[in-house]
Amino acid sequence: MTVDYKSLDWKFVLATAGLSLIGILLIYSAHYDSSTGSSLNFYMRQSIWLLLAIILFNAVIHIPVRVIDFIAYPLYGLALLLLALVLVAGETRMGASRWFSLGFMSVSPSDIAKLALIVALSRFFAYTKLPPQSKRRLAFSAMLAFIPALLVMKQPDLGSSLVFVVLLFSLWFWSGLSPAYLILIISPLVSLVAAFHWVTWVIYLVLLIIFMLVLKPGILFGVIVFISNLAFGMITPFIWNHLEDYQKLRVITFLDPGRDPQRAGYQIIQSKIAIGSGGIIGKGYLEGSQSQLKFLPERHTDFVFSVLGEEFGFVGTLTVVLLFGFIFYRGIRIASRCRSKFTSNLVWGALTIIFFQFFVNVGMTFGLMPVTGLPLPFLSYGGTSLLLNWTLIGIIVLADYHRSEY
Amino acid sequence: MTTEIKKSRLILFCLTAAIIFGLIVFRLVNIQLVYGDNYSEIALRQTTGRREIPAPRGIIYDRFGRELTMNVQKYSLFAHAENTGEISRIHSYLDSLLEKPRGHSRRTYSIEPKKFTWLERRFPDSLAKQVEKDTVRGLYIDPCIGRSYPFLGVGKQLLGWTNIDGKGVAGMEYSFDTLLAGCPGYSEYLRDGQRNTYRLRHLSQIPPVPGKSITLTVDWNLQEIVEDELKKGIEKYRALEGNALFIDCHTGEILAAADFVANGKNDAVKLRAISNRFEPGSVFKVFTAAALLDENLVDLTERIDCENGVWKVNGRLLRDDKKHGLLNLREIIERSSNIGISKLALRLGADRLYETARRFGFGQRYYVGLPGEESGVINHPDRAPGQKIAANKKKKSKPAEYNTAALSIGHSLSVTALQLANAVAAIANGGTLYRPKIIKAITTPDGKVLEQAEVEKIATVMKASSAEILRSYMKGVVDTGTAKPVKSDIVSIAGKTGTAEVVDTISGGYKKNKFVASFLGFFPYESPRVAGVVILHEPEPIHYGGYTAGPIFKQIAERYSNTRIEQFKPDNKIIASPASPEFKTIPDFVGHEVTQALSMARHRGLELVMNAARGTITWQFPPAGRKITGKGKVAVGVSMNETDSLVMADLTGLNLRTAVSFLDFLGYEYEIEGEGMVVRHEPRPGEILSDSTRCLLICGKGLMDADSAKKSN
Repeated sequence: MTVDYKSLDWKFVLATAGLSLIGILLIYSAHYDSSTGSSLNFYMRQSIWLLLAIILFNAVIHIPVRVIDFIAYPLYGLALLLLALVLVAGETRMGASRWFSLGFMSVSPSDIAKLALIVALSRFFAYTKLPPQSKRRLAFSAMLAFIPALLVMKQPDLGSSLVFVVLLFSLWFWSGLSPAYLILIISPLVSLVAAFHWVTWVIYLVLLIIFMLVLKPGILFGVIVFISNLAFGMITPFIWNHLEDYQKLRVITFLDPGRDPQRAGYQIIQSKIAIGSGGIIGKGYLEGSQSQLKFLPERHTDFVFSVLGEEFGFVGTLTVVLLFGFIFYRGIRIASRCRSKFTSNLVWGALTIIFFQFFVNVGMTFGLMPVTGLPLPFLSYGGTSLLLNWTLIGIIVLADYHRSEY
Repeated sequence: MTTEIKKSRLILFCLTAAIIFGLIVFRLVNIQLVYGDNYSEIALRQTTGRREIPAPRGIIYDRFGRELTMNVQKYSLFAHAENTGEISRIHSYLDSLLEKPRGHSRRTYSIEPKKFTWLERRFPDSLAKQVEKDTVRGLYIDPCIGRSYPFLGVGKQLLGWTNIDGKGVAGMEYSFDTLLAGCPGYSEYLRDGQRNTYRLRHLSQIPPVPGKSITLTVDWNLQEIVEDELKKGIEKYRALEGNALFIDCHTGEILAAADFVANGKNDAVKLRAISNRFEPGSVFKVFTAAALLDENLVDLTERIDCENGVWKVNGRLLRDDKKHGLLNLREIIERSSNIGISKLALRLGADRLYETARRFGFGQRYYVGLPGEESGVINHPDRAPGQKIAANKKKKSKPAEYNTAALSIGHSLSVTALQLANAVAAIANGGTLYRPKIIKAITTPDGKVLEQAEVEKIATVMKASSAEILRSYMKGVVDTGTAKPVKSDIVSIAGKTGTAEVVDTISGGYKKNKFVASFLGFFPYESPRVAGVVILHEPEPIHYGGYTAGPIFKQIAERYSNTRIEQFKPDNKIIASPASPEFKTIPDFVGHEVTQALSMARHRGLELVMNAARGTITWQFPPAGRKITGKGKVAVGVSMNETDSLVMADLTGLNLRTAVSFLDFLGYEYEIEGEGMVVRHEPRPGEILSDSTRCLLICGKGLMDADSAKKSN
């Protein structure tokens, strides 16, 4: 299919490309060694990945929308297969089997599954005749999301499995589920968190009852919600005891980083020191003491934003946040302008994936979110992540290009 | 879905998104702008470390510039391991390094992860260097400056010592610690999250301020003699303890101050010669006599009735050791008659006797600058502590007279050896009391004099004419009186003996058959130079001062006169000594021919120790520019042809460091016995060395050992 390049949303693409280039700069700095004047080859690999990602982007925008429509379920099936396979035959790193090793690169099936789920859910919500509040509609879409989520959780990769659940909620919302219902549906999860202390739990339950009395969602639905709230609250200790040690630690350190500054809280504290010490204009490129002196952990992947904050200061962080804001704004506009429900859903799903990761990652670097291992889209080092995100951008640009088609 | 609902939903969503973005920006503002400085400070704190650069401690010299203390590089071993893996590697490394069976290190040292632990505070140099070379993670060497005393035990109570952290805790090291210590410097370094450190040029470095050096008035030659004789004397006369203090009678400079305690308890922290108070007894009679002569209260030919040894005053009996009849003042002093001097003292009266004693410095501190100096106690006879009670009991008696008599024979007061020596110095020099000094000068490390002690005259305490008469009496004590064993053929000694009963500090009375034997005097008689006192506590069975402390005094005077004979010529008024040690700057000998170097050395008053008599000098120690004092021996290495055989140089008298550097340069293995200076070595000087020769350096405590070793050679 031929594409008229002039009518693409270039501002949107350029903002994305800008973020990707900043990412390479930061990855270079993260492993820069002032004594030799060179960096580890991560930045070179990331550059190659970026090149591939742009090629992939170019390929994506040439795909006809109906082909995407057509491959939605086969793709979803393939993704589930890969997820199941990786548990058996995946490469194990740091206690998690998340990758297939292809020799020159590692493929993370959960990234493919994210894409597959967007397409599958978009298609389902675009063509179903069931009303938004319909139980069958909710149940089927929930099943689509929870199967990959559970498989990913088994790896274990809690951060990514959360992405699937959030994607489900997000598309529920976008395809017409009333926010009040959404809140009630999500409420058992809140109950799970609130039940860490019985006082907060009781307060939460009282608030829930008041909320339901005002909303009047129907007796059966209300009872189910309330019972599931109780049940989730009561299984909290049970779930807690079944979490992996490092997962427990992450929750504890998220709540109180100073509790163990040498070990679990170390990452968050060092990240905050790095960002904070950047001040207004930063310490200068390649001059960040926290990152150059290796105090900052995972500085080319999870904490690349901290390198930015330290070396470019508030000016740098604000620029990146604004670039993301711009992409977000443009994306929302595209989603709401699309005439086709399917493409609109696709855009919305893609934005959800990008921004959930953005928010969790950035929030993590200054202690607003627990450490989950979700990368910062476009900036963090990682091949498949970059390919996925550029594919999502490609889908958004594609949807924008075809916005007036039904 | 209608467009209306879709729109409202979109607005709701955008609002939520805006809040989330707002939250992120708010957090960034908070961290980077509001608390940015705090975080910068934390970052700075964790990335920069400060390392103390110890300041070299000031050196203590004797009056002739001999180094009494030395700074030597010492090493400590410490562990700061990250995890148990590192710890077990450290343990197995130490086992192999120390050649111990497996598990020895684990039993000896307890190392915990992420915890700083000293393993050894004094780690042998060779092992320390090995550890530094092997770089075992978590195991480190901390170089620090340690203190060593080339004369070893000599003057230990005087010099004191430093603790393991280099802080003075006793003696001069303690009382002048702030002066000697200097001020440590700091260097800053960068460190990373994995404990690697980087020294970068642009980081600040504050250099240490080296401590000031102190030159003592003490002549270490005399100090050694005094300690040696005191030790021998205590063994010979089976005393518990002895103190001795010698002073230059024309300046008040302390020339030697020594203690010795028998039974291996010679580890006192205080110098007892200035901190021990004791009842002086008969030696005090010279000061009573000084007052009598000065006040013209006695005709020199007048004969006093000494009552055949027993005399009652204020109803109390006063006894003489031997029965004496009629004696003039000279005879009273020579024979040390209590009754005779008491009778005369009553003419003086309590006031004048008390004042004379005060004038001679008793009952007062001189503040010479050593820890623990005591003032002693002297009470006015009319106001003596026992007075009131006695007056109440027996109203008619006049105990003041008894008290005056007691004071005149050196009872009912306490004094220190320093006070006695300084007071007798005033008699020796013709009546001038000087403030005793132990510090001659304070200098910077490179020899610039900062402060110079002036001779300080306190007062004229008696007429020169009276002093001359009194000196002749004291000569008589040695020639014909109670101190006949002190008479010497080598040096003419004058003095006064003392034998006092030991005061029982518990009951307040006297201990039976326990005595303090003392000899207070000066030499040479014709032109007095050195005044001093020797005190023996509880010698047995002979307890007379003239037969115990006296001979020790004589030995000291004779040996000192032998070593410094030139100082005792009659016309030589003041003992020759430079104001501060003479610092000689070592020139660069490297590159010069031997003959040339020898003349350079001669010109500067330095002595060369070398391995061959011909050739070019390629090495030297100490390096050029270093300043040295004292004898000034420099070791130089001469390049030789293959065919030349190496002849052992004379290393005696070198300090160990120089000797070892020399042998290192020549490439010989060596063993060291003892500490201090090289006093003897195998092979002997002049012997031809082969490649496999192993040298043995025998070290000892310096001048005397070296001299005697040389003589025996």
